[in-house]
Amino acid sequence: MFKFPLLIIFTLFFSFTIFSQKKEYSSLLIPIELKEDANAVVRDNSIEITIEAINRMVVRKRKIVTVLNKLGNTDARIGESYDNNTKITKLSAKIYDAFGNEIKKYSKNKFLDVSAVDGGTLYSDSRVKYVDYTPVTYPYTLVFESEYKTTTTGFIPWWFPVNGYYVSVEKSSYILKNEEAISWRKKEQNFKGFEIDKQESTTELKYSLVNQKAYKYESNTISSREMLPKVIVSLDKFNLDGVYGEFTNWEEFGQWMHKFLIAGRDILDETTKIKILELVKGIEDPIEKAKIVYEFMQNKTRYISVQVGIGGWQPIAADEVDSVGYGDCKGLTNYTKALLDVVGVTSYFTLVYANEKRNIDKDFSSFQGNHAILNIPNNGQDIWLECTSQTNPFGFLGDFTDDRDVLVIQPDGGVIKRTTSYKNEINLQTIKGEITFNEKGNVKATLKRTSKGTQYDSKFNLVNLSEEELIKNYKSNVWSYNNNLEVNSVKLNNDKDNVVFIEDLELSIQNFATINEKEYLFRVNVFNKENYIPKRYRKRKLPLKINRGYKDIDEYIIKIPANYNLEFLPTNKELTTKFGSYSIAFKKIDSSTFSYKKSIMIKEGIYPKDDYKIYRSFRRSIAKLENIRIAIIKK
Amino acid sequence: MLKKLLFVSIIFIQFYTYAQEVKFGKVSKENLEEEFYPLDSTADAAYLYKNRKTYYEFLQREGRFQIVTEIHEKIKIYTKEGLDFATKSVAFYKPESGDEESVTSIKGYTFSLVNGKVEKTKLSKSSVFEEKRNKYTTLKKITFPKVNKGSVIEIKYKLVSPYTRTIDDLEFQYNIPVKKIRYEISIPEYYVFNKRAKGFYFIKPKEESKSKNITYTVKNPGKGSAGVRDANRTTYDYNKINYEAKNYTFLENNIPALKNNEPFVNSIKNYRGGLKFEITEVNFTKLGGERKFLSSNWNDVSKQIYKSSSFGSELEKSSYYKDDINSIISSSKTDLEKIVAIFQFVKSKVKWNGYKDKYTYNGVKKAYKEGVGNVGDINLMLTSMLRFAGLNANPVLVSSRGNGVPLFPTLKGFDYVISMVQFPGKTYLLLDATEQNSIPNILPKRDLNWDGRLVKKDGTSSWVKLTPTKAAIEDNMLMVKISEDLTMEGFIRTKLENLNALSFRNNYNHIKEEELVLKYEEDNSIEVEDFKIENKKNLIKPIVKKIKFSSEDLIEEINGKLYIEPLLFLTKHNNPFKLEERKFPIDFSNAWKTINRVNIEIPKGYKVEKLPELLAIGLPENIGIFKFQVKQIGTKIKTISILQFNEPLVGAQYYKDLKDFYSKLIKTQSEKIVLMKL
Repeated sequence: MFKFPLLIIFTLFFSFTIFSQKKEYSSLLIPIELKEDANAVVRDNSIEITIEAINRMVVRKRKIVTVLNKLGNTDARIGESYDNNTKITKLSAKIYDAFGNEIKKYSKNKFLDVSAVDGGTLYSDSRVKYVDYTPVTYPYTLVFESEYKTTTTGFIPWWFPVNGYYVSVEKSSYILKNEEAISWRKKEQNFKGFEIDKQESTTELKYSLVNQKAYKYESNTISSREMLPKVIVSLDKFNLDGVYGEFTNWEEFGQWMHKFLIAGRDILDETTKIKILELVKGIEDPIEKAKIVYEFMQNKTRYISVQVGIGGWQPIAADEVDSVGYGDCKGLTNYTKALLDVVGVTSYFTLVYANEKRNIDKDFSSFQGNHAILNIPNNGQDIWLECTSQTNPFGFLGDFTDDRDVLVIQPDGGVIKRTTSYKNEINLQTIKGEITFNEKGNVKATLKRTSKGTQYDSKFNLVNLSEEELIKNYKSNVWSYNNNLEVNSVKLNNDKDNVVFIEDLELSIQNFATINEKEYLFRVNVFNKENYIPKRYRKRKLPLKINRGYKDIDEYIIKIPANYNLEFLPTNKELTTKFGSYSIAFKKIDSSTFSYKKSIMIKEGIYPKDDYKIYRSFRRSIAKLENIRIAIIKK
Repeated sequence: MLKKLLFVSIIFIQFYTYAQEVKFGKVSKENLEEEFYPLDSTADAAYLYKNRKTYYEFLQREGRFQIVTEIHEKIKIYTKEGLDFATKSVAFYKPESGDEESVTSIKGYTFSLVNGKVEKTKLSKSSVFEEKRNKYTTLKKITFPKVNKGSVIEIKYKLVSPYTRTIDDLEFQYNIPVKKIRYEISIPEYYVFNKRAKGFYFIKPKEESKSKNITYTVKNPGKGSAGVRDANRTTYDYNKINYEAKNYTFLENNIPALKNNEPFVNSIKNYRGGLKFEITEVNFTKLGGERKFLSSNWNDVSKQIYKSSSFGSELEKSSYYKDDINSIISSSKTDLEKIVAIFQFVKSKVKWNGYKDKYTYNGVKKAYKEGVGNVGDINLMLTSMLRFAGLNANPVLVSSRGNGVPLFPTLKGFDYVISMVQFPGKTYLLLDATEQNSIPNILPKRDLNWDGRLVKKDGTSSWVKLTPTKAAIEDNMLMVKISEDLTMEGFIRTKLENLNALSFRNNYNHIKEEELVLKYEEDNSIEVEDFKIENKKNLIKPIVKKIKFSSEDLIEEINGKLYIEPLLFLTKHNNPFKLEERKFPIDFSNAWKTINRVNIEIPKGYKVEKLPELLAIGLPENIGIFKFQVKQIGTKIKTISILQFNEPLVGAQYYKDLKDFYSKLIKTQSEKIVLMKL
């Protein structure tokens, strides 16, 4: 019987919604040059941060974005995240059509509230309130306003006025109000070439940027982080999830972090201590001890991401990891550190940006990094341990955390160090093989493929595949360009001590050569074809960047069928550029045997944009030489 | 429903006994020592035991049933990849208001072999997390302690649901093998379900009727003088209600895993064995309650859906669009013009929010007003407008790709609806206005799964074929000249029709031409000089790409002779079918045809030494054909290649034929034209 009156209330509510028009939101007013290469235009993005006290901060945001097409929707996300220390106090979104007519409105209670856990995380306190808007026309303009209050002042929002590619900015502004004049630091980066206005006093900081055209993405270039402007800010005194903190440089940051977040988290129970001491009994060399501890940890634990504990910055206690056998990067790193302490090997918890190569800013201390690894000082030859991997060799980082500045947390203070780099010829793959062609055009081959450095990194997990999956990997990924390939036998050897991966393979390919009455043709490079040609940009705007570099050396002895003559061999070639070198060499051994040697080396480096064309033509020449075929004539 | 029972307090006693063959909290040493699954050495993990018991439990205080599902699993982990199975997530319905499901009594152990001894670790509460996913769904996330390669984990929990008309699907097959399965489903006579098998694996249940009862006492509070309660005078009535319950027991050993690692596969879940339950009747007449028919045959299902206020009555509303439609069709002369005008109008007026459902969500009126709706909102609105315009339009229920094949009459079997207009003489048009780039009779791929069910106003229904009669066509015409320095210059015109045009428009219409050029160059190793795309917005016409290009990489010179692939960069080098065997059908989702015509002008000073031979091959039952011919005509070499599949679906029994067909096709295409110097 309740149905009726409710229905009436609803209908009344409904008819009250009145939409208005805002001319200034019309997309017709956007200057043409801001539409060029843009999927979205930031009309006015303002962020206002008020630090009321060490444990009180209010952040007000207003984002007005005109989305020009489907791809621009990513620049108009409607959502705000929060956690136990953060309360969202205001939230609203409005959508306007091209003429500035309001077409949709979301009040705070229309926002969906979900957990902000990605697929890789088991649990986290973070949540997000968001709206999933379905655009009905393009262009449209979003006006999104939010305000939140938080007790954590450790993370003050930074300013990134240009948020990536294909988005232009009409106006973007940043205001930081520091009413209590708590001492603080800031750092401006990549301001050159951008129209940025700045005002500064002891209690206030203001930036604004206007009329910035959109950048177009180009492949093989530096990260947008390294070229787009940003301001990073940090308070000297702050609160992090109820913990008071104070630092002005990395040394002090390290002291603070050690004292408040790490110290005392390293307690282990006696049985574990005895067990680990038993394992290293009689061993003196600290590195040998560390190897045993690392292997012990790898076998005992697994990686599970649980983001709890002081803003997600405190590691789970070592004894807890010991008893459950899992932990996140911080927990596992701290656990390994605790185990190493037991056997008398010094090690330090280390903060790092993982995956995309990115430095911890050595001149600016603040909460940075998104991953933890372990540092073992070793007379200037630091050893780094990735504790979330159950399979990495001791001291091997791979391309996940290589060659970047990291913060090593020593009890007496933080120190910036650089991790191991894997560059150029260190990333070496060699293939030695014998290939026999028969009269029917079929190939039989035995190969030994040896990989080091990042080439090791990309292969060593093959040992975990089942035989079926391993063979599928050779057929569909490694040699997808060779139809009818069969793997007759495969032996893998993961030499973890030397960080070398060796594959011994016996392969065959049916109908590889093309045969007609007189001739027999085949591609001489059967097993390592480098077809990569960079995209052809008519007008390259961004510098060229080659990541890490590598080297491949291939040596084959090739036997042709007995009833054919080896008349011509292709001429030897050698290309040398500043980006690397390439060579192929052929040598007749006897009437039916010749050798084929190939070497390619690509060097890491950053080059001016005009070099892109030269690099492309270098890769094109290589691609062509990689497809060289030989014709042999019937006797 | 159970009015009689509602007013008495009942002490509910129920006895059930079952032989629990696998004990909780115990695992054999052999299980822990096992290094790989004996029947499938590729398995990363295996269910040693998978037990589920679902039964109805009577709640005395509330006078209603609830469904209890007890789960008991033992999982053996063989590899490091298998460690993923040591983390589990159980979703349950927990809305902000309304009846909630719950997951309780979570218990678990990890068993590992440590120095030859069995180590047993209990799952502690701190390893169980609860996460509120959204307004409706909450997850219990469980991660096991001390798990390693070789460990066995065991879990037990209870899922309690007040939603007695929904029994969760039974899954028989997983991406890892199952050693022993035992499922027991017990359904009281008051509930009647349809059972729908899915996939390529089935376990036949043992069915038996069991007499059960609800024994309860009715307490008559004793009353003394002046109505004062007197416990000594309280009397009890003993009541008992007998009912029959249907028990289904599914027992099986050694069920193989079914994984997806092949191209052209519809959702792998469709192929994994399982059983779905769908309520058809609720009957409480014996208890003085009501009897309700829900669905039992296709007509019932159709009627049931039609009767829903989010379906049939939505079709009848017309006031909200009346004026707009009148003005839109006022200039249309023929029925076809009307259909196209209305179809285009709906597409431009209401945008799809990505949600599939046969029922409306916002309701047609609101969707119309706000310009956003789900599938039901949009296509029911469309159907209603077409009817309003005097056309014979009806909704067609569809089971979209990924929802499985509706073999048995069930409500859940359909999750989508489209619109159909019929003309005299059995011709008809199918329309889906959720897809901006679709045209009548060319439905988007997500619709193309099995047949649709046409539902008429009177509730009668019948099957309709959904796959387009027109094949998806790619038609290439390529002309090239070879210059003295062996660069090739040429022109290619590509025509994309039907579903090919639809997917092109969906994938590339919004991408800037400059980017398309870069991609085209990269895909084909050529340099583009001029690039034009026609009919991007003109949906009735095919997409036409006109491209001028040059390339230095299409001719090979060996010992003074020139070698050219007749189809140049259109040559297919890669056989998509690489594995020896295939268990499930090859699903192209529609019939298709690729025609390539290439004319190569023979350069001055050269003559033909050799041309590839003619090939014409076919697949059994006219599933597909391939024709290839290279001919010299004057100073030109003309190549025609046609590849055609007449069926959207090729059965797994033809996999070997198909693989062989493709390998011949690829071999022939990559044979070269040989030119020698005059």
